[in-house]
Amino acid sequence: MATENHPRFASTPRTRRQMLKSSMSLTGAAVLGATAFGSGVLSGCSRSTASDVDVNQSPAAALGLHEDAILVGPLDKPTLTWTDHNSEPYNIAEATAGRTTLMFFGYTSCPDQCPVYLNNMAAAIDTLEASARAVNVLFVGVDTARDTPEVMKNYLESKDRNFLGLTASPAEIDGVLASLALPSVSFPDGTEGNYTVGHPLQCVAFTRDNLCHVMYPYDLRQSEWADQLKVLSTIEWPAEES
Amino acid sequence: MIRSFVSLAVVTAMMGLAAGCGSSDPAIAVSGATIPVPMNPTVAALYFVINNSGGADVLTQVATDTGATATLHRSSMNPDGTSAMETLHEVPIDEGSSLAFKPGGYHVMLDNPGDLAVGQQVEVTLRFKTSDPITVSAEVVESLTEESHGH
Repeated sequence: MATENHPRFASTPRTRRQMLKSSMSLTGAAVLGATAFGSGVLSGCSRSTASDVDVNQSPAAALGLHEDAILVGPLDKPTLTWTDHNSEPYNIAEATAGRTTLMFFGYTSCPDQCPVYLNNMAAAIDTLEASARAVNVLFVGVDTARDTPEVMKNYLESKDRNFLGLTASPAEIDGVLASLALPSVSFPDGTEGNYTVGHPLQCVAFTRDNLCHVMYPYDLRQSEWADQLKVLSTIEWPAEES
Repeated sequence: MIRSFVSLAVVTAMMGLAAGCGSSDPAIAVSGATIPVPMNPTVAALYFVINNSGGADVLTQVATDTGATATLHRSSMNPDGTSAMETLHEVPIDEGSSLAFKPGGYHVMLDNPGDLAVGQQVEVTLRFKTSDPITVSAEVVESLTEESHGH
């Protein structure tokens, strides 16, 4: 599995991803076997062969997922009806039932991190076989004053026609973030000019069982997203321990 | 006479040594300036790499010929996992260092850059506390490729 030994990450500064992981445990999502994460760093550079039982693997990697993926929950998919970028009502649970669905909370005036995520995702989807492209990529515009349906439509369709923007009231968005154990959106004191918005950077993945078992750092590479989309489209989650 | 000459040489050499450690002139080169076509036409990001083979300096301003308001920024992540965007008034360039402005980190936000077409060249001027201004050409690119993400 391509996600097992990842030599590139051996030399990658991991601070942000480690922060992301610790933030997930802080916000209450169940992180399985978090202690194995740190030792996963070493596996990339000191082990020359992958073995069937690799005690240094992250719990996510043991399931065939990217080693930096964050196992959570499982958490329920939101059942709310929001507004999509065509200004049509969009019931998230109904519209995405049984399909791999990625949800990211960003804003269209974001100069850096949101385009990084969307660029890599669009490029990843481009590389996939048609069968693996059956993925919903939802972009929730958290900056509701500026992220209007029209703005999001132009923004997302400039990158990938399959991306769909969603909008809702700030309270509804924060409610869904809370249900996913993610921090709420934060605005600066003044919102004149091209202000920036604080938003979660985790990409939330729902699988065919309509549950979220895993979240990702926003800055996976194109090839890593392509790999993960393939894995997510077929993954069978282990039965929950009671 | 000979002794004083020698000591003068030693002092000169020591001065040279000291200069190498901290007070030599910066020697800055800027490369790889790129502007991905923005998804939102009102806000773009400018990336480049600063190489400094000399003493320390400070980047104080970046301007372009697009008419955009350019702001030095750094993206990062708060301890709670949310995005953070810091506006910087200056960016220290350490002695003998290389500093990449790249996605997810330091970047220049271009506010209202106007139309940007792939292949277009944008004139970028960087101003420093010590060094003379440096003008380079930034290429407008479709989007950053995987390799240029600087992981």
